[in-house]
Amino acid sequence: MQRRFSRRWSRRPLAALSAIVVALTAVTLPACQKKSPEEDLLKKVEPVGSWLASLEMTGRKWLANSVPTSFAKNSLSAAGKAFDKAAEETAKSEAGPEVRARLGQLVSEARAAGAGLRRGIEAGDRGAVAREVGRLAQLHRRFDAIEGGGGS
Amino acid sequence: MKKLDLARDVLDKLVVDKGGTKMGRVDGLVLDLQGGGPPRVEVIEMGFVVLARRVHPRVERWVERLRRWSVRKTARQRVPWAKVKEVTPYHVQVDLEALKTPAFDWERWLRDHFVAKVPGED
Amino acid sequence: MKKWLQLGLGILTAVGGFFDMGAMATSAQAGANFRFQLLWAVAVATLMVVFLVEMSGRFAAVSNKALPDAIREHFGFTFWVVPFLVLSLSTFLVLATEIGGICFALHLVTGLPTPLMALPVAVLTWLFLWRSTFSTIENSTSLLGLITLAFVVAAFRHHPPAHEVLQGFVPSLPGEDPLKYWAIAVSIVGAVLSPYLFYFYSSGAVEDHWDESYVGVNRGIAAIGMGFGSVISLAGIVVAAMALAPRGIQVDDYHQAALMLTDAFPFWGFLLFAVSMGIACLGAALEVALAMAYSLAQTFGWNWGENLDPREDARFSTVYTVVLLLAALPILFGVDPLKLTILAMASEAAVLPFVALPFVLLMNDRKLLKEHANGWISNTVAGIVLLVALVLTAVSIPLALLGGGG
Repeated sequence: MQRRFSRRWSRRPLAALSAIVVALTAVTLPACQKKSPEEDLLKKVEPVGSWLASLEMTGRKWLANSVPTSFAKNSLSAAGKAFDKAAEETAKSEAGPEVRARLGQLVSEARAAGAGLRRGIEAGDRGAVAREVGRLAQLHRRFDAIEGGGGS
Repeated sequence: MKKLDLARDVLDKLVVDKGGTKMGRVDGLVLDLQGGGPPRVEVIEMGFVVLARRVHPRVERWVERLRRWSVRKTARQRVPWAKVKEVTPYHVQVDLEALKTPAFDWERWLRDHFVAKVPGED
Repeated sequence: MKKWLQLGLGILTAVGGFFDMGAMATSAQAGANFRFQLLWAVAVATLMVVFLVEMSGRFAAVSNKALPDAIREHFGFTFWVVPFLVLSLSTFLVLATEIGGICFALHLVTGLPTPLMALPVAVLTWLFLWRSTFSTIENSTSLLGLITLAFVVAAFRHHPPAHEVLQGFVPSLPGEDPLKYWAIAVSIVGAVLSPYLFYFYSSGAVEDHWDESYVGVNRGIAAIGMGFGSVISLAGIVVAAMALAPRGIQVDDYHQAALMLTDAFPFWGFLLFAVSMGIACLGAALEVALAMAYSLAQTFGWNWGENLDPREDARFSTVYTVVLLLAALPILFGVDPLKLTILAMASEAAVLPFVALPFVLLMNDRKLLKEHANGWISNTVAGIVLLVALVLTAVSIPLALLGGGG
């Protein structure tokens, strides 16, 4: 009697667990596959927008003497890696040529703005830094427009 | 005399020496079936090999192989039940000196070869 | 009254186990992505962790045994060996993460590359453990840990909209990106319910010689200590929601989180962030390294105790030495701290049932705990924790992969 009881209970959590796993895979797998190449690309390059905003904030904070120069430079390096990855994703994506062209253009401008910001910070040129900050803000708005417009 | 449930009250319990120093756990129990009478606890066993055998014979072989690099001389430390002074809810106390048993081979080795060599530790 | 000095143990456990590298990452991500919407996850996790920590303290005070000790004794080695190994692996990942946190904090201040810091940080952390007694660690870490209150001050300085903050305590479904939402929710709970926390706290109670008279004080210490960690995590979400979310900054990298406090404290904000991160992670690294040494020593019945001279417990001291040095390797070889954090948190969530189940059974053992065994309130919460733990185990790893990578 006791044995049957414990056996039933030891099987139930397992059954519940596997049900959860199956349900989860059933929900998530098609969701991942159904994405169009455009949606997929836009999702993959999402960090670009966040990095543009971070660099803009970093530039402003540098101008306000809130962050050290070394931090700004390290941030730029980390952002650079994210931009490189986005460029790579854009190049190999199967999304439509128009979205790819717009994104490719934007990412290369983002890299240029990042490089400009780095030069300004290294030279201590506040005017140049302020200019690049404005450019980054504008790029971020453009990026949001692309993301918001969707690839579909 | 009081009853003692070997699996519940003795196996896996902390072993302390006569001074109260922790010297391991009851990793195994060996019964003596000779003499025709009821089984009698002969020794308590301590050591990684004893533990490994409880998991799986193959694990025991692996641990045996690893023992090539061990500084411990005896794989199984056998403490005769006669040496057991008392079994409390907290520990099994044995009439031995931990520092002089194989249970402390590693402890001694690490103390002499590592701890003592840390600067300022003398 | 003197017993309340033990609050240090609660705060240390909280600084190390609650508001650590993992909580910093999840708070920043939660606030940056979903503003106040995930505050409830911290609240739920806090409630669960307060109960579990209280239980582990009560257990140690009444039985004079720490958890790994009691689990091996009561369930036997063959039961304990698998959870023990799985847990050690997960705890090791957490230790690597915390070392990464200290390194990153130093990287923020000095500008030098993070991997360069790995070995010096491991050696200095080790030296601190080697030299100090348990109460030194307890008091210094809990005192230094107060610097993380900067997050709370910052949260108030931002004047967040009160009704939105309150709404965040009511669970709600996300407007967009549900996968990310749930991935962050799971990692918040995973980051808070760290299994080693209970081993550490109960071993600490044994180190501090708690007895049955501490049962009442323990309740307060658990609630205040964990409450402290919780308030800081909540503040972290609020600050990220106010400083990062409106700008569209998500946290894909710790460099982005480092800007969090600069709005509230224009001059000191950056340094405060780095110092908070460094201290929280140092506290956590000490705690995790000790937790690993405790559970190993207790499993095999070695002499253990941070109050002993290393000569008296050479094996115990050797374990935390070796573990600290090994844990420095991932950062030394350039693994990204954030990726390591996410992996460690997923693994913590996955191993939770292994810890929770034997723990709850022990808490109901009247022979061991007499009248201090769990009542129905504690058991209800424990039952919920077990359920949550099972779900977490099933979803944590897939969610971390999907929600993190898209």
